[in-house]
Amino acid sequence: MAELLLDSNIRVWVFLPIVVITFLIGIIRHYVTILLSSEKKSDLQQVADSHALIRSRILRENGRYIPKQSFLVRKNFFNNEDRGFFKVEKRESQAKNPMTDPSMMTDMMKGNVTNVLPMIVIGGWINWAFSGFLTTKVPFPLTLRFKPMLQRGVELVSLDASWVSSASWYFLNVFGLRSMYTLILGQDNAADQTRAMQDQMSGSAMMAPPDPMKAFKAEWEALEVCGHEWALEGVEEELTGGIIQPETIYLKNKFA
Amino acid sequence: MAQHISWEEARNILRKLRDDQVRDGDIVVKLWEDVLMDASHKLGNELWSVYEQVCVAALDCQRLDIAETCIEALNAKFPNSVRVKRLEGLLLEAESKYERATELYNAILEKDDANMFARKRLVAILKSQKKISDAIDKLNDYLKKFMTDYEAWTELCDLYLSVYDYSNASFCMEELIMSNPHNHLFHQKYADIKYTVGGTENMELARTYYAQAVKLSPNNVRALYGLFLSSTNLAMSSGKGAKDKQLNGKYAAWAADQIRIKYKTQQSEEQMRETKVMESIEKLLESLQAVG
Amino acid sequence: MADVAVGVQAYCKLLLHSAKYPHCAVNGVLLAEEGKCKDQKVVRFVDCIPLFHLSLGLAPMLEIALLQIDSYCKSKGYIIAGYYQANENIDDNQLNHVAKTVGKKIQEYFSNACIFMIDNRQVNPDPVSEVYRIYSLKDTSWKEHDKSKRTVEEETIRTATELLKSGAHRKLLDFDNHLDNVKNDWRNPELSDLISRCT
Repeated sequence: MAELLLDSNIRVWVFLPIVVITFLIGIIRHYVTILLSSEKKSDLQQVADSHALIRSRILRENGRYIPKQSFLVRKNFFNNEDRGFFKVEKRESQAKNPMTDPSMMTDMMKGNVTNVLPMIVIGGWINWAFSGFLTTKVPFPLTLRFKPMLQRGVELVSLDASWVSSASWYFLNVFGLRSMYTLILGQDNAADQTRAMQDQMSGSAMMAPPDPMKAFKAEWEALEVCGHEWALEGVEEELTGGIIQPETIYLKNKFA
Repeated sequence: MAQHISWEEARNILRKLRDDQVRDGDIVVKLWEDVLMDASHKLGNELWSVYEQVCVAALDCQRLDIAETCIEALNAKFPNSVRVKRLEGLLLEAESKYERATELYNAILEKDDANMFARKRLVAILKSQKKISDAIDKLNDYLKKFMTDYEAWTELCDLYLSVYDYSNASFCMEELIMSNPHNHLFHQKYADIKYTVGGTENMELARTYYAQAVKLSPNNVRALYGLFLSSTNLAMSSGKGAKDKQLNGKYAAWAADQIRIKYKTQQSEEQMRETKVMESIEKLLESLQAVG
Repeated sequence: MADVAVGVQAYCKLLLHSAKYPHCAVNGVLLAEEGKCKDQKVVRFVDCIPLFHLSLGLAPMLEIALLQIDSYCKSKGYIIAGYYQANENIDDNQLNHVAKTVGKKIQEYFSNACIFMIDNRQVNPDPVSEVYRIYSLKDTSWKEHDKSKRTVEEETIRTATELLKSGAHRKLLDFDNHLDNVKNDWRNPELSDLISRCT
């Protein structure tokens, strides 16, 4: 396909401004999110539950470093049929239904306002303002299916699909400038839309899962099958005589 | 002394102390008074962390005037902040106004039920008032909710040790060992507790955990000594068969060797001779040979 | 109860040890010259070895320390004759179980053994009185000595205060420091030199 030469005015008045606009919008979004964000209220019950689950997990993973009796005492504390922690503690199922939970509703709305809305508005404006010409060429070949999407306003049948319009350049920027934001605003910044979208898709909460009873049951099962193999068995032999000899070489390695 | 340090050096020293969480109130207060107080406008946003650090250090040194100044400055910048309220609570504690401090922490808890700092300070107040058993009860309640707060488990272990409740203290140490099984200090302290309780089974446990501590960190002199002592004790105790005696004798001899090497490489001849380190170990080893 | 006299070396090191670790409980032993103690009515403590500031209640390291110090004493003609302890809480001056146990052990080898319980409020550059209270074993319990009897000279207290003000407590090394790094010398020879130069 023939190489097209774009007017250098396009570079100055379209290409670069779109980059700058996207970048600045991102920064503004970051600060607006900080201003609008509400304090996260932590619930004592949830915190306590997550601590208990973590402790049980640590018991499973590292229980072999404590004597067998101690391990059994703790396993009994969690799993005992009548009095075990995971059996006795009942929690109401707290389905985080966005419709009923008002604070979740406001959080969602705020998320939408700061992230989705600007993207749509700016995208539309760019489409309107910078329409009718090509902006750039993506470095990899694309199929014809992409043409109507990426070449809004430029309906040429024979044009290579790699050539894209300004709207697509804008969207490319939104994703591409993510690492720039990390550099300038530090990790965990609110200008990072893609992460927000990922969060929405995976839908997992950062604290204890919405249904503690399920988590308790899972942890109970995992702990029930967990046995105890003392990791310190025979450590004196290993240290003093067994495998590594003579002792001076053993020490020398650690001193060096 | 401090006058010769530039404000940048002082700021770097304070930063390092903050990062390493070193508790040295003396140095912090001196640096602040002599150097940084006048240069505070040059610190930028770091000023607020420095204020917090200086406040706590001043309380440690009973310089309540400095602490009050810091709290005022922080309050002006961050009104209604829970973090500044914490410092006010600490100031009240330093002035021994325990009732007011308790009220303040309870107020924090009313607003934020899950605030761990306020709960732990309530335990600290009880400890200052020498109500050790109340402190232990309160800390136990706290740990029922916040089971993985290892700072609290450490403090509970020390509280139990202060009332000589060794079995509960070793329970706490077990939690700490599980939290970080590669930390040789936890194994060694656990072994210390088991050794102190005494009895053959505990002595064997102590020996095992000392050996594990040495395996994790051959530079841990306490663990080497502990291994030496526990093996010697086991070898000399009457309830053991000949094979066990032999094994324990071997461990004791090995540990003594390691200690000897360590002292030879680290201490000067003169120091070793004067402090008679080797003699004391030889004496024990001899008594071992006499038995086994 | 024999009279007690505490030398400048012992008093200074004792004070500096408490000052170095204000947030911990500390303990240590005091040494007396063996030959001179047997007949006389006065027990003179000439030196002290600071022991621990971590976990005073745990046995193994205490055993090792006492073993080593015993060997050291024998070679120098000293004997372990006293024990001092400063509790963690500033107002706590009570003899606790650890102090009594160690005191009893020392008393088995030296009949006039004394326990010095440090009064934390007196560990400052302007002490009102001597920084400790002394206890001796009478029958089965530990009785306090008469507080009005002085055990140190004026000059000793002055020297100790000067050293405290100059920050000498940072140079002190106790047995715990020795166990952290075997190079550290629990005899504190440099500090002893400094103290003798100050008097």
